[in-house]
Amino acid sequence: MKILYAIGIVLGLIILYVIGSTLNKKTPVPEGCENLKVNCDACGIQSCMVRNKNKGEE
Amino acid sequence: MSLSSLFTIFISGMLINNIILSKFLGICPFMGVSTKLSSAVGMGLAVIFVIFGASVFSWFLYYYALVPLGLEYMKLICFILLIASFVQFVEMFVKKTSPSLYKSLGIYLPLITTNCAVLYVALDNITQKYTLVETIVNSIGVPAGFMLMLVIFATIRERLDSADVPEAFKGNPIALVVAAIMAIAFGAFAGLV
Repeated sequence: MKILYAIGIVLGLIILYVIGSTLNKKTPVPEGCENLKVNCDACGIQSCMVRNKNKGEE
Repeated sequence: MSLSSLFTIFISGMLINNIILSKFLGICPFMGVSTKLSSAVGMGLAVIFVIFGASVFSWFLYYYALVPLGLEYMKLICFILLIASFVQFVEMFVKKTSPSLYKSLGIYLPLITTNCAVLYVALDNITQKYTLVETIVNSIGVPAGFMLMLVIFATIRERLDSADVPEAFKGNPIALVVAAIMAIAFGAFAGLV
């Protein structure tokens, strides 16, 4: 029975994340904030998603 | 639980066991977003808000769902998912309600999702067996220490830009040397409480 509770909790949290992510993507970015970028050039981590996103937009 | 013990938790989280200088967590934003003071303040405020919210929600999830069901071993994966969801909802809420706040803090939110400091505070509150009030105090003290470090480091780095640094030390090497000296200096707080 415990394993079912565990699966239920994890599934619930995954669903919560998917709902949050979908709603967040659908919410329009406020005017004037379309091209905001994080100024994190000093960080050298090559695999960072923010860094790769910034590079892709350039 | 007295006021002095809460004060001890706050000072301990902020200065003595500073998350950056003694635990070496959150180094990515510490190095990456500390080149300008304005960025450091924005990032620091966003981290305080996210760590506070995520830690309180994690505490409730652990003691009101995982413990009664005997699923304490699930805390790591549950907290990761909870933090990721929380950041998504916070970003959406800020986008809708306050464009000016989104302009100053919103851009740092994706960075915070991957910040291990958030997960550390949520797990530490459970490991230390903190009550809800202690959790709240610790969840403000630790990110306050993070912000303090970020702001101090940003002001130093702004001055380092105009300093006469040897070519080989320019950029991240001299920043790491400064961070090491700061860690030694903050080691002096160890005997404070």
